Amino acid sequence: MSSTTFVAKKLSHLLAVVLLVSLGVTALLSQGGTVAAQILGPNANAGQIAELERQLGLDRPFAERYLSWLADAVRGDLGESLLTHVPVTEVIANGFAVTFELMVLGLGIALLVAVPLAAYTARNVGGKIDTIATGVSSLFMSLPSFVLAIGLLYVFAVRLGMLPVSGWVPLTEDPVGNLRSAILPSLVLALHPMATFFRVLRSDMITTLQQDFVLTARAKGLNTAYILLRHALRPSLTTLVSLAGLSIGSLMTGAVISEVIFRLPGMGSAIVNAVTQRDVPIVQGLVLLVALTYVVVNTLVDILQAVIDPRVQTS
Amino acid sequence: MSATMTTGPGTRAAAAEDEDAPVRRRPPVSLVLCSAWVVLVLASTLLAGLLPIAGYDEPVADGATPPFESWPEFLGADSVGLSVLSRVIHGAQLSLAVAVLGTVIGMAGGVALGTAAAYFKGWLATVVNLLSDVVLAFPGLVLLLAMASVMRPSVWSLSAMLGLLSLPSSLRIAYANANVQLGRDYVLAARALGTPAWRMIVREVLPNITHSLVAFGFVMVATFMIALGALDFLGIGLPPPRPSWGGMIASGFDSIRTRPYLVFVPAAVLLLTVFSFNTIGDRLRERADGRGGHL
Repeated sequence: MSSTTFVAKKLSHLLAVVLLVSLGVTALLSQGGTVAAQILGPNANAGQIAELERQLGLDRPFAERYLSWLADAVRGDLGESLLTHVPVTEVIANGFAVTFELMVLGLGIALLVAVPLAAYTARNVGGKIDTIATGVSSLFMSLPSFVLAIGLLYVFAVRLGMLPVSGWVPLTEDPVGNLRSAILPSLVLALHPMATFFRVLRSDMITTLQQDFVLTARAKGLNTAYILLRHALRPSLTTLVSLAGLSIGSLMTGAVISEVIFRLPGMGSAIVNAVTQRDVPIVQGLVLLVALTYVVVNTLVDILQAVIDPRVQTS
Repeated sequence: MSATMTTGPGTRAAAAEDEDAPVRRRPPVSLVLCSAWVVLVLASTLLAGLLPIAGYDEPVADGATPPFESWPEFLGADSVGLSVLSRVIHGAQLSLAVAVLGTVIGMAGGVALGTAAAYFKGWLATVVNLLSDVVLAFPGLVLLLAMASVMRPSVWSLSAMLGLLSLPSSLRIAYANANVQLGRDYVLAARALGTPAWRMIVREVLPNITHSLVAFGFVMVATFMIALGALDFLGIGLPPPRPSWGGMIASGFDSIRTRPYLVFVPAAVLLLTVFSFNTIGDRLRERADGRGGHL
């Protein structure tokens, strides 16, 4: 398969998934009655609800609503909030910087801890550090992120008073203050990816270290760190790279939780607010963005795989 | 193999017995402890009504009481004097019911579709895989939030949501395992005998992939407990008055400075339960994998 058809095939798959996702979300959120009733409150009668539904265009057939929403969405118009009438794109733009920074920091922390630790423990299987790291990683897999967030907040912010309990300082205003407000939330995001990255890379590295070329490198008298980093790491990266793409999902989940607990003005807290107020257009826009990001990132990852390991493409 | 070599004096009878008997190792301590905890949680949840503790809505004190000051309500009381112990025990009921029910729904759908797709291949496999890509394209919590914005949460709707969300994962596992089995000679033999499709799937393939599926089921229950905890914590899970661990953590969060135990008791119970289900699932999977390797 040539590289153009490989990319073309990936892109058409991406388009199909995004279309089906947006259709699914619209179908899911099209139980209009609850929205109008929610806005008007419990004292509204059926006539008022029907009137509001007509104003909001919720009485049109489903296919018509979906197509007009899609046509607007393609032109970058995701509608506006039912309650505050702020455009959905503005809600996204406001929260984007916070969520994006948390996700980048979270992924960075996860990789910075997991990669060296995995390389080291793969070299020293059964050692003290290996036993501890493996045990801690399986504990981390079972630790719900909201429990971790509360635990971190209690220890570092409430007990030790080292870091702020809540609130957000934008990066452009004060880089140090920004880091102080972002460090605990991004640790929450980093937790699950860190544990999975560590486990997967460790077991892949162990397999790689049993290969003959590692023995050759050792026989040439190269030092251990050099062999681990220059010879063994790259062939072990394939699974880790796909996992890093898939971890966008758990990073997003972590962002929702930690933005709520640390009261940060990101997309995660926006979606939770919109859900509790049943502000459907905001939920719709944010969910579409999340799905789009997820699918695009994973398509890029598939292409990156072919760069790291040229054999991927031909299979 | 090495186990046969090291077992006792090599009388012929003992050796023959070892050949036939599966290699048995003593279960690790972690597995025993985790199983014990799961049994304890299940038993106290099912028998909550018979235990000598207060109801989840009966005050046992005038206000907040720290743990270890009274018996049998040894976990203290919250700000309105409700027993933390009895709320923790009753709080498990609905979460466990939803987690188990969701797992059953997701596994039933996933196994049916996954084995059918593996057997029939062709367009069915393409459609099933594309649809599971779509569902997997969402972070679970975000989809749960979207669903919660249009539905009133109930035991059934939550179970159905979780089941639907997890369906692609169990589908993938059933599909992959069934594919391996379908390439084996016994399937060829059964095919040669003219075995019809449903019989092939149910009687030949299914028994051989059950162990992997059961292991996955335990991990799924653990994942659902976390998801439900998060929903309850965010206030969009099952509505009060029934307590839930996530809800207890959320209401204790407001007074974390003065009464941290109101947060950390339910959090520890949740963590232990999730960890136990995960550990049991992991061990079962190791066993299932090991078995595949030895045969």
